[in-house]
Amino acid sequence: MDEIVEEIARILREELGHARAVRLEDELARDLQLDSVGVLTLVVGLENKFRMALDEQDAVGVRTVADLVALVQRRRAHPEPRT
Amino acid sequence: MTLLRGEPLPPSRHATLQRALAAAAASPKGLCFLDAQERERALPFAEMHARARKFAWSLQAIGIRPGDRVALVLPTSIDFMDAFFGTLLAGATPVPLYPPVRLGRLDEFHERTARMLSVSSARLLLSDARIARLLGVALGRARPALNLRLVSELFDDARGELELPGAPQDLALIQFSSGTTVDPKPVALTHANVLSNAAAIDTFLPEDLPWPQSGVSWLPLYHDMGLIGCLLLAVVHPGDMTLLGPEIFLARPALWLRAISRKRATISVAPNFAFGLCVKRIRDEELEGVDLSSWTLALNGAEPIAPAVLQRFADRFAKFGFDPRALTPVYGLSEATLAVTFTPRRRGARVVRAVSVGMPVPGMEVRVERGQIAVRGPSVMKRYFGREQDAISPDGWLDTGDLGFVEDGELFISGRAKDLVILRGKNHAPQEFEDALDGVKGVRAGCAIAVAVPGEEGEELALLVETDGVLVPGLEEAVRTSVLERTGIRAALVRLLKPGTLPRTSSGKLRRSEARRQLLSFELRPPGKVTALGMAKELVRSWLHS
Repeated sequence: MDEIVEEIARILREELGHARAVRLEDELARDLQLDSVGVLTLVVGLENKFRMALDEQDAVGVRTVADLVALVQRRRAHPEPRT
Repeated sequence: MTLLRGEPLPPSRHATLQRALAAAAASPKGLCFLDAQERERALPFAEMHARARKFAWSLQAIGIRPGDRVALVLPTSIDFMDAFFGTLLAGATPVPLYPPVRLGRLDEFHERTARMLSVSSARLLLSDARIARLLGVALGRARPALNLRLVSELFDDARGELELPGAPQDLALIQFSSGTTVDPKPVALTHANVLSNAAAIDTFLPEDLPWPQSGVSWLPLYHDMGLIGCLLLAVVHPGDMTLLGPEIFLARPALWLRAISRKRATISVAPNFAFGLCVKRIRDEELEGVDLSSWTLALNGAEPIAPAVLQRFADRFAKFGFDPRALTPVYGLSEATLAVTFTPRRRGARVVRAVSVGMPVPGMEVRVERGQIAVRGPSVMKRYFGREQDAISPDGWLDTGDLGFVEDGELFISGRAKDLVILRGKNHAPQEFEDALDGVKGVRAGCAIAVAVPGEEGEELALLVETDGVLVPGLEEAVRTSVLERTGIRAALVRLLKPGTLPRTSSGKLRRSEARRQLLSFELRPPGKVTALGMAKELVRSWLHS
């Protein structure tokens, strides 16, 4: 899990220029002010790092950093077959 | 009234896109797909053509007939090429639609897709396994006769080949780049429209360089600039074209410039924001060994161009061999197929009050009358698909809805007559943002206006919001967050206003363009007493926010 949080923090810092530390309870929109490009940057970055694919349907229920971490964990455990 | 006229149009080399594809297939050129790890997959035009012939056979076998519309919801992929060119070879009309955005809002995707399927009366929807699972809602609403099929399955089912000839006045494609989610506009283009515009753009690509003309593009293929300006231009020329998915560029902009360098690309096009994103996000380490000197045509279009962004891009990448004369601001619209005016080749950007977008491309005429821009030429669409009325006047002029002026024979865009917010090359209706404020506590219901304002890096979103009269703590943040969550766009400016501040018509309807004018001229203020102190405060606030 730490590994995923670290990667999220790295993308926010290096790719999106966020200065402050990331907390699990941070909401992507309200606290991190991520717009659609910001979210996409995060998603593609995580996909590349952890070799899994996040789904369009996965958006449901992802509001916070903790939600995103849980989603990545789920997808790593049960990668969907890509056709 | 001022009239600008492009050079005479050289004759199109091919009568239809089918013929252009067959000619390209006889060349050694082709596409190259690049993934996020920079791995390549080549698709020579010969192979693309052969695959399309098989796919066309399958389409006919399931009941697609000449003249049918076939909608495509696909990422940048070989699937897209099979579906797009296969549809053409079956004599039908491809209608590329937007794929969903990962972690994006699905209800908006369902609604948009259903509307576009309906207004184009598509008989079939083509997709891949990944996206198909999300298309149920849209299919249920629009009910295309032949429902949904997966491109890979149809391709594998082919037991023969098919290539129907088609005619120049047949519909070549329907594109939705110019409308908004609220009001999708099916721009219907004939083969003659598309090929004449491609021929006009092709005059900017003479083979007079030390290396062959070739392109790199990350632009989405459901948008006119990516589909016509990159993919179809490569087929018509023909030249090599390297394609990346838009999400790959957005996640790591350096991959765009690295691809240009590695491929010795001469042409690559993007909207203004992409040039700004490169300056902001790319680090020197990511560009080790990169040489951008082959890039002679860095076209910039599809949204308002900020002079500061051009300057910063040129300064930032000069040490990587980027030639500022390559910066080529352009103007176009999907109703004119794509290109309307281009800055002269290898001259660089000219800035006078605004950025010049150059002169009409060959075959195109531009008229500016009382500040309104109209265009005429062989690539201008006659009418939107399915509409009764022509979009053009009896003598062929199309009102662009954009405002501008002419100086020294060049066109400058100064604004637009319609209420639109153009962000990252995509048109948004102001209602998308205004509706996102429904239910935000403290906002006066239905009393918000979204407008576009010029920012340092291009156009930005401003929200002018009337409160209930009582100031709820944190309201500005709540407004910003609500819009961000529901549209994915961050407002650059939020102004909370007392009830009654926004200008209205006599019947009480909000007046967006007047509100925008008042905002930009610091006149936006509540009704009633205007004090000198109030005026001064208003001014200071405006400066602080600008």
